[in-house]
Amino acid sequence: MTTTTGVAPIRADEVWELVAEVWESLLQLPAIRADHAFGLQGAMTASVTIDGDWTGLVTVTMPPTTAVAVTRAMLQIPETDDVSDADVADAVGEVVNVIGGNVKALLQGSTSLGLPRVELEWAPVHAQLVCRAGVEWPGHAARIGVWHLPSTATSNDSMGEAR
Amino acid sequence: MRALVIDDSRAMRRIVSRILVDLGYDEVLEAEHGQAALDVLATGPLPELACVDWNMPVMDGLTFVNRVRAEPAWRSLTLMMVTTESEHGQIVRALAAGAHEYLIKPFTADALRDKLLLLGLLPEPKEVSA
Repeated sequence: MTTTTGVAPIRADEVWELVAEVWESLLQLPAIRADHAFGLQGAMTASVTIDGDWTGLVTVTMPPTTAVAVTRAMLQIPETDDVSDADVADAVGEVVNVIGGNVKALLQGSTSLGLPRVELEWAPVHAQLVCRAGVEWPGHAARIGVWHLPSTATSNDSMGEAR
Repeated sequence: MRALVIDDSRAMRRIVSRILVDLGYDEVLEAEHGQAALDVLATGPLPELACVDWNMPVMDGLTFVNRVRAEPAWRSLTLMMVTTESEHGQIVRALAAGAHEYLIKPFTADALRDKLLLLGLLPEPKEVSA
């Protein structure tokens, strides 16, 4: 778990709690808190924006095989059946939508949630890390990030590549 | 009993529909946004229940609720928001607009069942003939 303070009143522990709830309620998968590093090459990223008094981005990044496993779990698709790209994009998009909505609820002030966006390949976005949580379950791992997008965003030492 | 599930996520529509069928609903219709749901209501028999997401393209859930409540012929339709919008102010807005219940994502099948029980919209168990 990595945390950067002073950007938004969101604690990494709070983010982890809602990630665990999403994994257990929506996916019915056991969630173990972990900070897994995995290659971003070929990783799939779903994101949703938060706009208003605080502006930012919530991302969920996972390898394609993990995205398929998440889709099977969410839609109860047996191993013997194929999983379409559309199903994967829809399922992973809904995961980030639910996490994003709950992150939004942690924020003070008036904010609105955008619609989820899913990218099949990793695409960097310059933003400031608020906190990041890793989740793992047997054979798989995913990473959830909360990022601040200042309205006057420019490249500097505190900015990283969001995902 | 008939239900209408309105959500832009096909995955979420499938999840809610599956739970409703497991709970005994005879038919579950689906719509990907509020406008599509209005079209369903205008062209077919009125369902007893609509599960309504908030954030959707074309027409969001709150607009849908307002449109339904403005139509007297749809007064008997029970509206339950099923959404990630969990702030107190948003819940109050939805209830004030005419939603009957509010279920926050993520939820369990038991949580949905409990809401239906409160609303009196949990189907009676079907008798199985020998």
